[in-house]
Amino acid sequence: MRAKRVRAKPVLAAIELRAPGIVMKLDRLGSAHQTRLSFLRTLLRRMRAESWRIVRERFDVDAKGVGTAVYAVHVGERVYSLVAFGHEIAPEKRTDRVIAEEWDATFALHDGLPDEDAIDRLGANVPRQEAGRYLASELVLARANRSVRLFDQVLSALSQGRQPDAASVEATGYLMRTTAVYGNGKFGLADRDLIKDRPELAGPFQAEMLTVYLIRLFTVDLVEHLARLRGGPRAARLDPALRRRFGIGNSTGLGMAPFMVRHPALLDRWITARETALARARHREPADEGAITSFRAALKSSHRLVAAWATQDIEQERRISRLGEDLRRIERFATDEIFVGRQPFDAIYRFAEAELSLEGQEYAVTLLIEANGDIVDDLAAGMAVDEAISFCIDGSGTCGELRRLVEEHCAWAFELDFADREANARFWYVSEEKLEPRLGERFDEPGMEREQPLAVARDIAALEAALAAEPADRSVAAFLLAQPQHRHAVRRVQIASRRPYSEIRDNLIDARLRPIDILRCKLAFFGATRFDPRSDRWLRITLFQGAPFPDELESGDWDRWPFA
Amino acid sequence: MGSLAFRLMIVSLNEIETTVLKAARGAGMEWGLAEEAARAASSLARLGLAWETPLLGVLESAPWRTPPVLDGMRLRPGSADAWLCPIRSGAFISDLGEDAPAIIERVLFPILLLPFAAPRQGELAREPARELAWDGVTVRLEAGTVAIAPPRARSLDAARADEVALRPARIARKGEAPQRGLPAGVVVAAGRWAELQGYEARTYVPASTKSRLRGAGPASSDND
Repeated sequence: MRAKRVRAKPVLAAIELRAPGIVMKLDRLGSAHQTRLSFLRTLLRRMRAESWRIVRERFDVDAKGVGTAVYAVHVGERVYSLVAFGHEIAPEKRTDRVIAEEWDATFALHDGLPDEDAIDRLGANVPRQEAGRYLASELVLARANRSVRLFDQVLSALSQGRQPDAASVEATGYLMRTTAVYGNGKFGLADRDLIKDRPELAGPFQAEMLTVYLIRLFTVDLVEHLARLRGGPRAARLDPALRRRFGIGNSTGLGMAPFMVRHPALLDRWITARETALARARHREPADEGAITSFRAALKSSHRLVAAWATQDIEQERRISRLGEDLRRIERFATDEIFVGRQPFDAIYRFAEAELSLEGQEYAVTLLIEANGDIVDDLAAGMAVDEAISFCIDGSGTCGELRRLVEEHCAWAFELDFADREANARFWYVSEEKLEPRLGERFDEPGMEREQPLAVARDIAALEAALAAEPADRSVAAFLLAQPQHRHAVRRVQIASRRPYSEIRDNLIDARLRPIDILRCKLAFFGATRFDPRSDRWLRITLFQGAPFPDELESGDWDRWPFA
Repeated sequence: MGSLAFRLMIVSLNEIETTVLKAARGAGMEWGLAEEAARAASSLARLGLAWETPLLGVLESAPWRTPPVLDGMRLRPGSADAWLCPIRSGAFISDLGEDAPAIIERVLFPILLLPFAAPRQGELAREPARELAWDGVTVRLEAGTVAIAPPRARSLDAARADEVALRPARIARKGEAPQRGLPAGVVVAAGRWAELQGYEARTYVPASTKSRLRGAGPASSDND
């Protein structure tokens, strides 16, 4: 028996949060992976801790999938209901774009149990989606389309009494994909302020994640139901392990991108929570035995999970392949010796930072956070923010002081050369057609005079130039009184000076911009996996793949489900 | 417009904010000012005060093009026949906080000054109660609430005021200020909402085949 090594108590290296200049670059944000702090994981932890009960109240659906279903979620004294409508849709009408007018299924999350009047009202509006109107008794509006090939394949197998082919299930990962999930007052839905004091809805996007979780349940129930109608008594139900491999797909285009730019205080909170979690994991000493075991288990599963991550996009394929290599390198690095050394998780992070691709580095971040849940899960509670607080401009300072703020916190903005055509090549706009956000080529298409205010870097650079022409002791208020066109930029700079992770530090109108980097950043915070680019501005993902179903929440090791 | 004008609809505060943001921009305001207009409109709506008429009135007359002039503690239009924009003036008041001018001269739709004069709370400071007064009405502003004296003062909705006074609230309130609950939806005349959407539409770019194919979607068919 070896003598236990006696280690002198070391002075712990203080672990700082990673610098905004590193974290807020779009290529890194666009390499983000889900973490324990992602919103759907927070939802599931709460669901289990509070023993939410989900009851299928109604399921009146015919052999074509047309009909109405209601699922009630009991959260303490409250009830939330998913009201689902199935439709029959001609194949040529099926599209994931905002310009669609019909869908395979449409949904609303209703506050309470809906009575017949409510269901009638919802039935008249929900299938019309954006063209309908909703009340504050509805929290979320959504719609989904079938993944036709897989849906039919699964239906066929189950109706003949067989389980569907696992490889096919894995390749797609969902029966249906949502193409929009709306909340916060859109089309008359309840304002977020009305519900944000309810603990279960206080976190970001909890109502939306709950809705998607229930939609997932609906899709599985639907295919089993249709199989029974088609195959009679010999029809099979999905085997539980296979059933868990169905998540909900999501098809996201540019519509989501402006959100990350329009909510700087919120973005700062999300990033701060994640970076704090990383810092805590790195700082941990000695590394907890449970954390080490978790890390190794998650890493081990990751080889298989990453190998199964399918995409048609050549660039992403290349990144995934490289990520697979990176995982093997982490495995070789993370030896027993590392784990008995000083701050082993920090050693692993520094190895990743020095040696791995961006996907690999950010995946390492996910693994480190995953392994240390006991010391980071509390950070999920701090990811919401009251944006009204950061809205007001402080006009009491001088132009000189403001200019110094710009230089100190937004230097990245005026390091770009906006005289260069490439730097100005794009413009964000909203199309008249179905009000769809789009990205145009400034010099090649009409419409730039109707540009949306997403060129933050350019506007901050213009502010800096204007401030340079002002007497340093002039008040900001006087400057803005005379030049109100700079209000937008001043607000951003003042927010940035207090919130280091509020700005994406890249030019959002550059010719080389990859909008999917913005989308992926937000979707990673939702808890998405299997990022599958369909162009530089369209991203497919899966949510809840592998997650326990309501009747499985009580089972033992469930919180590891993303790495199961 | 006939029957549409008299139909009512229920909108959320968020819809008011996002619609007014784009409407103000569509009417010609810079985005930074449009953000202020949007906040002001939804703040008034939250307080149960009329917001559509003054807001549309401002969009129609475009007074934000008139640069305000600060003359000691008075804010006034640069020329004798002009009127101040309550959004542009309000933003200035909000920026200065407690150092705001005491008198705002010749301003359109003074009710729109309310959200800007309200004490700020949060990251910057918690400021004491203030008052705005014009033409026989006094509005006391405390964090999140307003008290209007007299309660049914018609000049509250006036299209213009020659002089608006801004000062610390004079009379100590007796007891707790009544907090108004957040409305679960705001009633709006459909005709007025349509007018706002008319301005909003000026920010949209008409589609072309090129933009439809290239601007938003997947490279190829997205169904499988």
